[in-house]
Amino acid sequence: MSKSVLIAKYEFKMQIRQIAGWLIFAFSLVLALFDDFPSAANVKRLAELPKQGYVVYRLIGQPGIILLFGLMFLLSNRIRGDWKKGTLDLFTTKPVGKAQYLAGKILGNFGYLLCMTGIYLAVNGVIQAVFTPGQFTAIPYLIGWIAVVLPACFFLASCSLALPVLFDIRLFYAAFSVYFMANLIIVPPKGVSDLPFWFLLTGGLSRLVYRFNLSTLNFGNILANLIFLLGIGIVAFLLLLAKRCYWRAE
Amino acid sequence: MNHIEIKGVTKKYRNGVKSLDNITFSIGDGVFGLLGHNGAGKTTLMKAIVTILKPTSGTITVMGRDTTREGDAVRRNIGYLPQELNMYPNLTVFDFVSYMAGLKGISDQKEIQKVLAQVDMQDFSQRKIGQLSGGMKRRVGIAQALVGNPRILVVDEPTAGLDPEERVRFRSVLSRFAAGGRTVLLSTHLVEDVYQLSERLAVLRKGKLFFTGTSQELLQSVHGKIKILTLNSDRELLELRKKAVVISTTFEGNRIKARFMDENNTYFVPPISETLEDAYVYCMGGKAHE
Repeated sequence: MSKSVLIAKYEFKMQIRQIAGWLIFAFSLVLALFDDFPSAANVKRLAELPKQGYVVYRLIGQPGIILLFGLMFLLSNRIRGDWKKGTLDLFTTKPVGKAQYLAGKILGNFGYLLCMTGIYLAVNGVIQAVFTPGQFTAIPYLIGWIAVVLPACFFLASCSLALPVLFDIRLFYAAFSVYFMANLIIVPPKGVSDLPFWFLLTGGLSRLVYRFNLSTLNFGNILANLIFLLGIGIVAFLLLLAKRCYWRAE
Repeated sequence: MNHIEIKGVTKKYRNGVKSLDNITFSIGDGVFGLLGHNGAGKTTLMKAIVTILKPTSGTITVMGRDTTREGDAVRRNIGYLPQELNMYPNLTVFDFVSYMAGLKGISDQKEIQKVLAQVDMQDFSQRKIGQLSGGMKRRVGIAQALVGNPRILVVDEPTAGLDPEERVRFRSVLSRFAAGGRTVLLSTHLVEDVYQLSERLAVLRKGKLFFTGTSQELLQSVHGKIKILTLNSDRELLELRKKAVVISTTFEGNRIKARFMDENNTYFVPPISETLEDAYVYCMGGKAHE
């Protein structure tokens, strides 16, 4: 087994066993259920609810962001903690390369985020299949998970692991809290085809799940959102790879 | 055969602090003790040996391989137990050792069971690391270092903070490992550990090599010079300190019993039998001040 895959495997194993992660998951699930609570505002959306694309868009857009925001805290110390607590010495004294270590860490945590969001969408899918009248199809859930959530998970895994090593962790928390807050507060306008490219889960990619009566998709906008999420993730990884102070002298 | 050769090693940090200053000595098989105060440079030297740090000048070879040019080959031959051991608390003992073994390219489960048995942890293999006592954690630390049967084991302050029973158990593990013609480099500030385990040792002080040789040679350096004097006041103790190296003092009522090193034979009291601790304290506070 490759060393990166080995590191990823144990990283995933450690993360999935964290009770805090499951508590965040439960909280997001409850919020998702409340999104369908028959309040006056929600009743206005009643006509939309049988549309599965709309439901998936809502699930990803708000409780999904809160889920990722909570999980971000569980990721932020995975490399920084190894470095600051001296656990990294156990890796640097073994025949493991820096790129292998970093790739394994990011891969394991990316897998963890993907798994948690996958379970989140699956549970909501089952709820919808059981309680919503009409024919159920898993396709909008799969599109949402692969096209929207996957790039967002890569972005978040890479940034959450890299930035606390590159900068002060408090600065990272502050910056990402503002970022997540902006994602929650700024509501994407309905029917507008060019959404902010820097949105995590409600950017251009989210139009692949639900179009808000748009007849055509703005592929430039979709691509910009994808490039932003993947590009920033890759840049964060490369900056971490380039930083020397935490790894053994070579 | 010398398994580790250290030649003219100096480590200078960017802020100008010299942590190691032209260190030269070699280490053969058996347990080799590295003694020194906190901040003497022991950990820096160990980190240079296990390839974490690169010396500013000088060379270190491990089993004939240069630590800076052939790092991976060196790492395959070395097991390392760091001073500050923070393992993942929500992994089980077995998982953690398997993880570390995998990083060395070992996936054989029997090998994991073998090292856990060597450190008496086979009954706790499914327990989470976060639920272990300090001594047990240290044993897991040594298990991950032993996996893959390395030729050299580098252990940094392994017995610090352990209760006497765990300390004895730990010494036994190290001693058993070294008996097979392998090398244990043991860094400590506890003279007792070195006395119990090591035939050869080195003493570091402020980044410089102060002594290297056998325990007997170190003892010999203070032979016939350790004396005990009973003093009546602190003032007399102060006077004694000016003329000799006071190793320890005990208070008995109003009197002070001072154990000291009478290098110039100034005091006409009969010498007592010396201990390794006397020699070490003398090294640290006596000759080093010259």
